[in-house]
Amino acid sequence: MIFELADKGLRPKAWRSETKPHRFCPGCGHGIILKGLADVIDELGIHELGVFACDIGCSLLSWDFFNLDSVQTHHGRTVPVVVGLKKVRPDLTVVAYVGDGGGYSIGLQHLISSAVRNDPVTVVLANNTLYAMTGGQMAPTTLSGQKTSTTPYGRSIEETGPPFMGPEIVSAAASDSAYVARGSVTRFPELKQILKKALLNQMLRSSFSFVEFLSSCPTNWRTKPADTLKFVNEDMARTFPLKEHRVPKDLS
Amino acid sequence: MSERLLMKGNEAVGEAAIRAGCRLFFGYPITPQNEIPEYMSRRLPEVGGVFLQAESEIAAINMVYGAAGAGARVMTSSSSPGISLKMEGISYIAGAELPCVIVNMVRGGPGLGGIQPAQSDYFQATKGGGHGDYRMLVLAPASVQEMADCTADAFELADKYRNPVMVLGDGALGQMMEPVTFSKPPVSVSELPPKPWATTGARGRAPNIVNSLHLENEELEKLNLRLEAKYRRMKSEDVRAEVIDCDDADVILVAYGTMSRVCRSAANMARSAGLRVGIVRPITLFPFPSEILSELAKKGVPFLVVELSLGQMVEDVKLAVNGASPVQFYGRTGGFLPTPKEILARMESVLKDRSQAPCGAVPER
Ligand SMILES: Cc1ncc(C[n+]2csc(CCOP(=O)(O)OP(=O)(O)O)c2C)c(N)n1
Ligand code: SF4
Repeated sequence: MIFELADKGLRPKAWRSETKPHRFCPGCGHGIILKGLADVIDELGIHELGVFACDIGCSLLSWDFFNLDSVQTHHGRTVPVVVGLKKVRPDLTVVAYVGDGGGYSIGLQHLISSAVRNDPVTVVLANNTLYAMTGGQMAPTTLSGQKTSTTPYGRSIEETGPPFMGPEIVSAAASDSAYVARGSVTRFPELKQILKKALLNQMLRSSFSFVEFLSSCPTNWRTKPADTLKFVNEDMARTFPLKEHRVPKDLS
Repeated sequence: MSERLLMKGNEAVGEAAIRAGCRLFFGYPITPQNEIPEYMSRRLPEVGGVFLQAESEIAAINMVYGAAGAGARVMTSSSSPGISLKMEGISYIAGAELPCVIVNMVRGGPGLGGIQPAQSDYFQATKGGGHGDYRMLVLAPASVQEMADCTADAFELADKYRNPVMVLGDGALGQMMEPVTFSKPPVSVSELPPKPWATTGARGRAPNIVNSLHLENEELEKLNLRLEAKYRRMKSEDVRAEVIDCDDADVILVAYGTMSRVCRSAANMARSAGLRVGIVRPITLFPFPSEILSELAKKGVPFLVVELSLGQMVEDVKLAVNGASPVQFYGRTGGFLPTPKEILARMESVLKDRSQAPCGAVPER
């Protein structure tokens, strides 16, 4: 559907057309989040003043997704990389694009520290409840009882803790200036609104933004389209409420 | 039990570890070793062990530090980028003289590199890798059977020396399926020798301290010398290499792991073409089989070192040979495996051009 639009000249300007169709599996949430991001970049006109950085995970498959300067970083280290970049060029708008493993597991200290410092950067995280690129191992966001390749008996909350509530925890560490929210790939107009606020909070208010999106991974979930949608909208949404956790007064 | 099982190399590592008395595994996903943690997540609960997927490789290796300090047989596994993160912890484990097993299923680098087999972590594995003056004992299996055997031996050697031991494989060895026999009876954990130095609670004894801090010059040097003596003992007691047909050889191939398998085919091809080819296959990369090589070098026979890198082990071969005979190098990277034909062609040029060929040169393609 997106590709039909593109053929009619409706492809976002921010998309690098040589790399389309993109590399994500059919039905993958990453493509939807990045489409939303491309639309918002078009809307804000920051093609020449934006730098996109991606983590390692399926997010990595976006290293040449945009017509923007882009950086591929080490697993979990995307946030400090964009912080370093921003220190050199405060006029740039920087986006760190990470998975739930990269953001909440190996890179958690960086995410929390950046929120505490109120770094003027935008962190976008795709929550698909597992480590997708490496074959579907448990992630901090894996649901209670969910089977993954390293929780063959279902995730045990007693042994591994409950699913990680990213925006809830980051907002507790972040300052009043921060924008923190959770959206979903199944609510596209809202997803774009959230991304726009997350970028504006960096551009206009030099403050930190963190947004998580419930995202689909039919490949590792082994789900058909209808079940994929149901898993996001019902199973995931039960654990992860869609909500804006922090909205600076002058941004809302 | 000694029935033959068909297993992937990665699974053989997991099963061998459990049979060697390993009841704790701390890891983090990374290709191409995911079958090890996945196997452990399934099998360890069956034997009352603990599988924990850590939040990062740094966390995993520090959990290993704690568990090894408490006297348990413990293992972690990863692949190159993850092993780099473990280096901080490995340095502490070596400094505190704790036994543990670390598996590296090497992939090509630097940086994120690729996920294809490589041997580009030889320097990191054998020269310390982390900071400070320390070594790991490094075992390099070349078959699924050896993956199992080396893993079992790794636990024995780690305890013998109170030192981290690395099993250095690669993506190809981890993924290939071959028959394996576990011939030794499984180790009974309760019958393992006690570790009186372990931090298990100071009941009825003076407190133990697991430590790598030595602020007094004398103290630190004492540790360094003790470590050095340990590494010397490894060199005298635990060097392992396979030496094949070297007595009458016109040229000797030196290769380990996956690369040695291809060299075997190349040597067979060469022999049927009338060339006498020997092979030295180091199984311990540290301690390195230097004496075996220096003995062979006395005859002046040329060596061709073949690696899946642009030349790392070749430096140790040259140090061992010490100019006594020519040493040449051939390697491929990026996931390419030199073919037996390529190696044969290289051997012929080594023989033709013994004096002129530059040592350690990158192959021209
Ligand atoms: C230091 C290091 N450890 C592990 C890996 C292997 N690895 C690649 S992607 C990935 C995780 C992917 O999960 P996530 O961040 O949730 O992103 P997703 O693939 O689900 O989008 C891991 C662990 C790596 N590349 N580097
Ligand atoms: S494996 Fe999952 S997250 Fe990765 S591209 Fe495919 S659907 Fe998307």
